Amino acid sequence: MNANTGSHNVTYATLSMPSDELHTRYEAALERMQTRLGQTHPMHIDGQPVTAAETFAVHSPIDTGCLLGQFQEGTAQHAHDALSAARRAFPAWSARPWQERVEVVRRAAGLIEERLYELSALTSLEVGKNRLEAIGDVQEAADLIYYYCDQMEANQGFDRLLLRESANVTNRSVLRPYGVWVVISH
Amino acid sequence: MGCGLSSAISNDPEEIARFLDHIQAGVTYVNRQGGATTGAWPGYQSFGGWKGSSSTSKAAGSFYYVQQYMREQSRTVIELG
Repeated sequence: MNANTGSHNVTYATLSMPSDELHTRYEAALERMQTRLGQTHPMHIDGQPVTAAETFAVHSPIDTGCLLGQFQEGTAQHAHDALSAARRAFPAWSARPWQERVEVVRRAAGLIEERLYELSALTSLEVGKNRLEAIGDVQEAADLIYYYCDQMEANQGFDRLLLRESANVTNRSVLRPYGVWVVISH
Repeated sequence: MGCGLSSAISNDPEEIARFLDHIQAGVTYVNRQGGATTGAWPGYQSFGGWKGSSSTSKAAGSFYYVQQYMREQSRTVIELG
């Protein structure tokens, strides 16, 4: 939970004593999501939908007769394309002031939060988590992002003045992004 | 090398100190009834392992994490005049 924004629907405390509203909203979202199962989904590379030669089916572990969707069998070339797109975007992104980057990333966390119940319902269907575990996981995804945004601010963007040996010298320590990171998950 | 993500103990006051000082795990809980070793939350508990349960031994959702995605540069600029 982010102490600064105070806007979160779900916290540690909420999950230990879930309200009726939490159940109602989760169940409504689950119903909405169930009407959207079984579709074929593209990958997204450089902001564009991309399809592969092959797809694979994903079923719910809590009801193996339930087809969640068809997904693209991405190749090494697709991974390479995604990496290249991220590398092309990196110079402009990293050149933006850290305050702006924090703002953009906070907005992303806000979008996760807005879709909390939908994403939780999908998490339950996809991995079989019960509703409180699923809601906790999704809220936590947003909260981790908020947390690191707060850390950036608390540390002045990790751009700090050091001691100066004379009036015409400025010494700073700056933490600068490494660059593109690849996350491989299964 | 083994792993060491989360761990918990309850009750015995003597064992508690020994547990906290010697357990090789990144997350520890003492006397926690619900979800004994799970359920860390950003800002409440850091979450990350030691040894094979970690790549850097700095946990998520805490003070030392986000810096790992950045490298430090010292910038000394001298004004000529």
